[in-house]
Amino acid sequence: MSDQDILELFKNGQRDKAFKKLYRLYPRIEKLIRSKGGTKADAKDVFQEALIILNRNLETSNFKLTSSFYTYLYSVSRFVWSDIQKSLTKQQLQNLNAQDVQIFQEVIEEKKYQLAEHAFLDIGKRCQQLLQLFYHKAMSFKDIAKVMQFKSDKIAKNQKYKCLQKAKDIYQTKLKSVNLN
Amino acid sequence: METYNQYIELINQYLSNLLSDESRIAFESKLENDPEFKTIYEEHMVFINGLQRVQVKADIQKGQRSYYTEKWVKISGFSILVLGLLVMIYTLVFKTSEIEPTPNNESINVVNIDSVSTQKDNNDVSVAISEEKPDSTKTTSQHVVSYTTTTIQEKFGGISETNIDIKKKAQMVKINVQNDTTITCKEGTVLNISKGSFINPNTGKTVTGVIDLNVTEYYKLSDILMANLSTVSNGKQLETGGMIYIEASQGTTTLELKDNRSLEILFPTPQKKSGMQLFNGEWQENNINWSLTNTTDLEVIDIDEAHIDVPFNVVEVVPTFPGCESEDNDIRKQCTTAAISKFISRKFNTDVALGLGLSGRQRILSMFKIDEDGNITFIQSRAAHPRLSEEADRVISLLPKMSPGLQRGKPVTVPYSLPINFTVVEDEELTQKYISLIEVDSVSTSTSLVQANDIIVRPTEMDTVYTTRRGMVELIREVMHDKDFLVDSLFIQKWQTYEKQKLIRKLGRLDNERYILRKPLFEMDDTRFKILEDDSITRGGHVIRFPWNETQVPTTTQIMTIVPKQQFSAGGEIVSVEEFETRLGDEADTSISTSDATYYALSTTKLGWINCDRFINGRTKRIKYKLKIKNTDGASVNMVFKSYNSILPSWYINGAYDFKTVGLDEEVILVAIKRTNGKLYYDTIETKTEVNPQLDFEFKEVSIEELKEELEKLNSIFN
Repeated sequence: MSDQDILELFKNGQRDKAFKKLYRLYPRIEKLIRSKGGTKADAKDVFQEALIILNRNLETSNFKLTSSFYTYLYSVSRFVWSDIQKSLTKQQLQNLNAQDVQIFQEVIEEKKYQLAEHAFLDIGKRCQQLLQLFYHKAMSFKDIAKVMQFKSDKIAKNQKYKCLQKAKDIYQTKLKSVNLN
Repeated sequence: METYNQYIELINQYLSNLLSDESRIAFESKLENDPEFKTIYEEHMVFINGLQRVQVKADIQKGQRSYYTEKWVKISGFSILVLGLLVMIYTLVFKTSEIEPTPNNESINVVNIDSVSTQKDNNDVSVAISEEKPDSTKTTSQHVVSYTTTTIQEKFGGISETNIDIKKKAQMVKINVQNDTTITCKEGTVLNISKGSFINPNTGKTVTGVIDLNVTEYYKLSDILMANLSTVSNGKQLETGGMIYIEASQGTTTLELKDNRSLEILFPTPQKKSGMQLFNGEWQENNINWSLTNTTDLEVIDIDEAHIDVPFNVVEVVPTFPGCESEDNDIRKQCTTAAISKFISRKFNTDVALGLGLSGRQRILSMFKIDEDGNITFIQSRAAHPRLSEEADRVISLLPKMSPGLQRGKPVTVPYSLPINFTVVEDEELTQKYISLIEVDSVSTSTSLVQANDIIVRPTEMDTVYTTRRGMVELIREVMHDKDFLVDSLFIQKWQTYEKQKLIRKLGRLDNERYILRKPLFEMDDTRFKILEDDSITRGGHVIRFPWNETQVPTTTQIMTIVPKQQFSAGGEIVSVEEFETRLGDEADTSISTSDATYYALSTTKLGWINCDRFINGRTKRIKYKLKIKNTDGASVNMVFKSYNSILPSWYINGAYDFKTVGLDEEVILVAIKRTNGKLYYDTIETKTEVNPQLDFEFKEVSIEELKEELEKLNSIFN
């Protein structure tokens, strides 16, 4: 299956199928990570991260895949791993070409989202469900109230704010502790 | 808060494209101009993106799972295909050629015969065979050793006028002569057969393949008497250590041993006796005659000799006291014995006996061991008063290092028993003097050690008895709270030193025993003492420990006690030497397991009747012994000796049973078995040998079972 077909799958919203195809590239990424001293588990995490970044880029309209999926995922993975290892020297950073800089920035950016994700996972099951329903399923508060058995849509709305606030607080503390490090 | 919520709502609307163009422009300009709003917006964006990650991750996992599932389906599908192909190829190519297992010639078969019984009649025999069938083929990994238990009636030169067969049935075992084989028979005889030992006497060729080996063991008196066996070699009386009959055959051909080959036979024995030799038997008229084979002398092997104590009077090379070195073992033995008693009598402080309230002849029984290095270890003493045994221990421990005893060239531990006798003499003169002065304390005693020759050291008259009494080993284990605690003689010595140094002290009695283990024990280098959880520790750091009780530490050690042969009083009862010996024998039987059993090992170059015997030297006056008995009708009469494993046959000449010469005053049992008209008659007479005996048998008719039972009653005579 060509890269074009995979792009089609993404466009049609068949993300999981597209990911399935992309997993064929995983063994080669695993080899890369292991050659740099990572474990199999590390390789899995890195590849997942690369796929998330790819997905995010594909969703922004102005992204153009300039090379093959493999080349792209390879370089993203490389940066993700270097970032985890904090192994990039200033010298290396200065020598990066424009495209690499772009990728590297994306990797750094993604780390923020990771924190937000972790914050989201920390807020409790009910809050997670509520926010998921609102942001992903774009459900109205009226429907949410029905699904989650709130007495009224107002209460649902109120709850949503509270959950959001909670998540953001957690996020802020996490961010602070990360920055301190 | 209100504004913040409004902002968030606004942002959400913006992101969902719900704003009108107007408001959108307003929103975007606000984003640019209002930094506070911008932060909120950016923060919210981060959060939204983080939330997205959750969704994306779920999709990725889904993709990953289906990828792997597909992969495995492909792989397993492929492997099944490959396997199928392989099976097809295998069946096509190899179906015709069957792989036959090849016997491994170097391996050793060990065949244990454990179920052979004497059957009543032929009906029973067939039943027995079918019962044995499931066992008849025992497969080992590569080759098959099969044995069948059958009844074989061996040929006797003797009594054949009746068709009653009361003889023991042979154990039949099939062996492959291409392998070295070890056979352990039912009663413990071990046969070591090296490969290719048999020839066919007709062709003179070495036999290959499977042969039948028939072995009959005669250890029990009943078995021996049933077979009408006796122990005489050309008129000389023998003491037996076991007889066996071996026959080898292949098909109908009786096989022989190769000229230069021999068969190693181990006769088990609970107590080994010296001078055992190998005899081959031949039937002459009704009696068997044993002739000495001219093979190499029989050697007595101890299983695991290095760890078995060899008594002083048995050990080949006795331990030697410094200064007693001599070529002749007997001289060395005497010299060492003398030197030890001299040493003890000189160093023994008789003053210890003062003030103990003892009087008269005192006897201290001591024993110790001379270990493989010649050191004196395992000192034990028993006396009327602990002070006396302490003194004996002290003196014995002063003995110099000796050169160790050797058994078959290897140093062994030699136990040595040492009774110390002395007399506490009341000094009458002194007594009278003091009586006049002090009324109450009327007796003053002084002791004198009776001359050295009164210290009786007669190791040759000692016998050893093994008992499983609990000793130091168990005590140490109890205190250490470890039933597997490794205790060697070195550690026992150390322990005793600690006790002397008061590092270990026992407090309390019986149910309330406890030990004080002082601090230094735990602080020594390489210490084996550990502080345990349930120890109580004193302020000084010493440990108070309650030992385990007996049930927690199994008795594992055999304590060897030396029993003087002539000093026997079992309880308060006086027993005869013979009886005492039997008791010792019995005790040895129960306490020495089969693994400790000793074997008489010999090599035979002939099959057939084989006897492990020694000559009995006539120590008593010998007399001619003839019995005139009525109604004998060709009964066979044998004389069984109580004091040694010997059976004398008789020859029926001129209406009398002639036993030729026998020792005078021997305790014997005359066993007569008569077989007439298919009926069995039996009687025994217990008597002492004397000139012109006037005895008569009262024959009772018995069945074979009854005869067997009767004869088995006599088995205890033989050991």
